[in-house]
Amino acid sequence: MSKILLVNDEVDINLSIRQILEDRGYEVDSYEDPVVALENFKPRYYCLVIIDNKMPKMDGFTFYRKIKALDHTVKMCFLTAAEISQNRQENIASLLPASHIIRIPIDNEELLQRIKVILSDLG
Amino acid sequence: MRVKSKQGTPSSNIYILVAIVGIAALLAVLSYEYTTFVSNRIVDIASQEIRSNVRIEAHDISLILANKLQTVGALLQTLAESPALHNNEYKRADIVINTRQNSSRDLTDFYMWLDKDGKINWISNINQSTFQKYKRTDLSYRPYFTIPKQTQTVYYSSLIESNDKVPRLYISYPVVNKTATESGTSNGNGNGNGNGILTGVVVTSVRLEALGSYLNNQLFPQFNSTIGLLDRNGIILYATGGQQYAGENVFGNKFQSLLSSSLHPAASKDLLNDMLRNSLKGATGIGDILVNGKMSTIAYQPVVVNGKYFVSLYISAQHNLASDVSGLITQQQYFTVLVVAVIGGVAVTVAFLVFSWNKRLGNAVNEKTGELKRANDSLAASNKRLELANEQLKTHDKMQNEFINIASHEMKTPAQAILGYSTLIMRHPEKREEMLKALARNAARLQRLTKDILDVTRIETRSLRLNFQKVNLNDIVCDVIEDQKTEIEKTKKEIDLVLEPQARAIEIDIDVNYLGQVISNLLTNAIKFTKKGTIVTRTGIRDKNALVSITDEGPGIDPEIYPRLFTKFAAKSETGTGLGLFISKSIVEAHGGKIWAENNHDSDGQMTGATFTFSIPLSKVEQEKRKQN
Repeated sequence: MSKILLVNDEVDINLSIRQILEDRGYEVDSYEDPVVALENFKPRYYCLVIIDNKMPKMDGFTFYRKIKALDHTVKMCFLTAAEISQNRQENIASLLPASHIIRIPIDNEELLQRIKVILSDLG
Repeated sequence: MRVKSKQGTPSSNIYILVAIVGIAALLAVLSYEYTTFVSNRIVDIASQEIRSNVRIEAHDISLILANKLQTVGALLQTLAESPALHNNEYKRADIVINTRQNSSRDLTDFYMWLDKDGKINWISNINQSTFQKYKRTDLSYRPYFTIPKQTQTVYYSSLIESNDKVPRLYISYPVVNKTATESGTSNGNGNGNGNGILTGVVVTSVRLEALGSYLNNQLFPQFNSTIGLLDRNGIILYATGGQQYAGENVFGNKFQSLLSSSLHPAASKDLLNDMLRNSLKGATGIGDILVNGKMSTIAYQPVVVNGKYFVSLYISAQHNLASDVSGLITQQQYFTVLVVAVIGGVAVTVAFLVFSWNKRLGNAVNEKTGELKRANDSLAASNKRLELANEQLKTHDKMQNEFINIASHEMKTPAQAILGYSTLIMRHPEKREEMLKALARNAARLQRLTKDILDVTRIETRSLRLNFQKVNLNDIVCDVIEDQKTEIEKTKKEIDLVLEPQARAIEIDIDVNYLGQVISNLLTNAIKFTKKGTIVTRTGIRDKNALVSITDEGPGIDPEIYPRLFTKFAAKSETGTGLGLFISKSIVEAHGGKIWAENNHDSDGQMTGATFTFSIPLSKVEQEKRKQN
């Protein structure tokens, strides 16, 4: 059973996506606070981490690095509502392939499809 | 300070001008000196001419004089040897004597025939009565009797003043009877070397003045020279224009004092005296004497009569020619100097003009340079302004992007929730209520955002329309507070909303919806930033303005945000577009009012929260007036 970690400061998004994933059979841990998420992070436990790139306490870029430091095998993908990236350094496109960046709003089915693709991705 | 410069600084210009003037002065001096030199040469040459002329004249005139005297002597001789006189044929002798006188009357005054005792036998051209008077006058003491009697040859006397005070020369010749063989003596005088017996002496007198005039007439008229005759003792026989001095000794006091008074400089007198002494030795000579600034040349020549030095002849001529020439030379000198001065002046003027032209050019160049510089500076300033504007645009773009990011985030988030829940709700009817609430919540959020963005658009395009109604502001405030109280209950925050109206009723013309939105926005912010505490809303009137203030007990306004508080792009990282305060400000200002915020401090200086206040003028007229400002 694939375990997914979901971190998003928007309550409604957290809950709705969590529900969608659980309906598909994934086990989901969700946090609104990235700091708390990191504290409770279990390495080699999750197969996917879904993070929001714009969070008040920590931006996605930093969170990504921290997770990678803790567990370099886990797959990561971003959920973003941004239009234009502000900072080159925070350009997530440089970190991850396009398939790992999911732009919202997104249809539930499409979301599940995308996650499936990410999970089946080798490397 | 650099002395020489290409542009011609004033000091180098002055040097050049001074140099020109110096050169001109030098040239003037040089030309003056040169013309002086030339004039002196010319004067010398002219003087040489005069000197040679004078010498020639002296030579010629002395010969003429000698000749003339000798002629008279010869005449006397023929007279003395005439048979009439020899034979004492008185009547015939008288006629012969008269004839002789007539032939030489230009020089001679009379002829006298003296007998062997020196008594007058006959005087030429005399009438009988006068003859009777002078007949047999004894002139035996006269040298003109005694000497020829002795020498038996011709005798030339020096000046003798006769009884009638007329200065004369006497020439006498002995009448010797050569036929007599015995050497007789008469009156005690020896007969010397005579071959015969002296029977008498013929004498003629030469009027010196006549002699002198005659000689003067021999002078070349153009030469302007004068004649002087001195006898061997220095007695003045003749002087052109100075007959009153005839008979004076040149070395005598009277004449010497005359020389002293009329000859300037004094050296000239000494020079003249030397010449005179020299001449009286029978010498020939020539000398220059400076008299009153004019140079005169005097040449002297002994007049030799019958082989003997008789008198000295002096010819003198002033160097008038030379002085005329030197006058011209002086003119030329002045002219040359003037020309040089004029040329120098012209050169200075030209140089001055060139310099001033240069200066004008320089000034023009400087002006142009200055203009160029100013143009450059203004260009640079323009560039700077452009840069600044560019920077501002970049910042603006950045902020715009930031806004778009935030706005899109705010839009997409509820959109995602709606999308998600609306699909889920069909699968989870058991969670229907929960999901519907979420849907409603997010829809409302989306709606708020839509409205905000639309408001911003209206404000930006100045198409905000206000609907004015006369209301009691307190009522409006009260209503909004009540609405917010309901919201607070939902959030379960421990917040008290208190209304402290400070006037009973505040009648005001406002757009109820928009101003309500403002109050609501301020309250929402206050609630958002307060964890727990009291939020006090006060209303009042001050200076014909309605005042509404909302005070919270939150963390206060971040000083970083404070300057941008009411701007469109004061986006915070919390939820919300950051448009609320911007819209509120726009609405308040559309009513001619003002909005501001400040942090509150207690008596210890601790921050206790923030207060947001806005004021609206009570009268619509005032609102309009303020709005236009």
